[in-house]
Amino acid sequence: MSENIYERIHRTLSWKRIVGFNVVLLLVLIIPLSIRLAQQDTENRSGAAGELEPSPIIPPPNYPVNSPTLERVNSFFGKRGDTVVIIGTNFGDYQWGSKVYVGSVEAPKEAVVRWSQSILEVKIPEGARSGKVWVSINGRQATWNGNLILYDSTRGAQIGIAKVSSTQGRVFVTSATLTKRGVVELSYVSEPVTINPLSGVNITNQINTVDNLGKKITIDFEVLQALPSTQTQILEVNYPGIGIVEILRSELYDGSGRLLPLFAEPLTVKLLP
Amino acid sequence: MAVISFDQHVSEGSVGAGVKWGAIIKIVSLLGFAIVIGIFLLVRGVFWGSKINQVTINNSFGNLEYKVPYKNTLYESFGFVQEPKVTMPLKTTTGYVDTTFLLDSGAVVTTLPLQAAQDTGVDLARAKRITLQGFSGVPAFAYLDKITIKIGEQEFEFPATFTESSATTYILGRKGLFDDFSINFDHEDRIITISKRS
Repeated sequence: MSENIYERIHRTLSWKRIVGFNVVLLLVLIIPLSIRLAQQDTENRSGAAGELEPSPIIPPPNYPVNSPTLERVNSFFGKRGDTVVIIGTNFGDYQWGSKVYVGSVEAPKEAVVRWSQSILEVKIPEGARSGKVWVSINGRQATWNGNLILYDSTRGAQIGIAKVSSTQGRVFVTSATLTKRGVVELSYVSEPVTINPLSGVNITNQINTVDNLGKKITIDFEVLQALPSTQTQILEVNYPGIGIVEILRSELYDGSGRLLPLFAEPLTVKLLP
Repeated sequence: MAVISFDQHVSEGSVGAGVKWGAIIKIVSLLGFAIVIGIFLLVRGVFWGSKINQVTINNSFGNLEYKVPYKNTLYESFGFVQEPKVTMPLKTTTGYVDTTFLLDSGAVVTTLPLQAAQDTGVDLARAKRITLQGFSGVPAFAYLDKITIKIGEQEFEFPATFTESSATTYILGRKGLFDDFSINFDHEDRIITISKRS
């Protein structure tokens, strides 16, 4: 009696063998399959939920031994709600009971974005007006020698610095018709830097100083002829063409000594190399 | 003998069908696991497969879906790295300009270089000034405003910061984009899918 193919398969393949074969096949394929599945679709879904920050642990007050100093306020102009960066020394690692005054008013704690030994980031508080910036660290005060100017871009005068050549730039003002005198402070990297007055302007004083962040030159000037409302170049800055020259602060005053609203376009406050 | 022969014939006929089907079931069972895996991969490829190296926009029934391939970038230290960069039309003062953004799920907000403010017609003097922390801990100023981008044929406005930091490139961050869109980074198929949530 001859055995057909079905009978041979039926006889040879026992269920035990079939299960065994599939187990072996599973073990062989499980590794490449796992790798393939693991490398699949990295999906990133965001519900943009509010981030919960743990409340910081603030150690007990340990104020600096030395008195605070206040070297720069960046930028020297702003609107309420804008952030200014106050740079100095001996502010303390935390605010504790220290206070910071911006635009002649005390900044509330929620307006202080960052407090560190040498850098404070503070939002210009509601109620602030053009005026002084100072800190009070454990009862000891330090005041910035400039004025923070609150401005309205539709009414304020504008100041900037434009590149003329690789070694020369010019400070200009726009809508500054009421100006009788003013101050411009520039930071620079390489020497020598020379300043020359332009059209109807006379330099009354010029001081070179150095702080922890670099070299500065402060120029006081007076206006001999009324400035037009259009863009007018007032100072010529000659420098070696190395490093950045930046307007750190400026103040314009009218005939009665009143501080004029002033702002600068962020793109026109620096001379880049 | 004839009786025996008849019995055997009847017996072969009835057992033959059972044996035949039993053998077929056993062969199918023997390859069952491989068949199931094969069907799974085939179905997955047909229904969930994606096209590579071409931007496709599906805007049927208002369900905007924008697919864009990953871009390969050669790094000196790391070799080729797939980067989720997307090129989209950015609204400027002279019309829409194709701009390449890094799609960064780690960035809070869309960030552009300060110079881009001029191109997009943003008045920095009116924009709110904030600070961003750089890698070195030195704060850099950024100016908060909005930009308009075209996804498919639709315009979308997203909050954006224009930053002074010299290392800034064009980055699409979470705020706005990730609120309204589902973003799928598919490294295996090298494709990014941006789908508008209904």
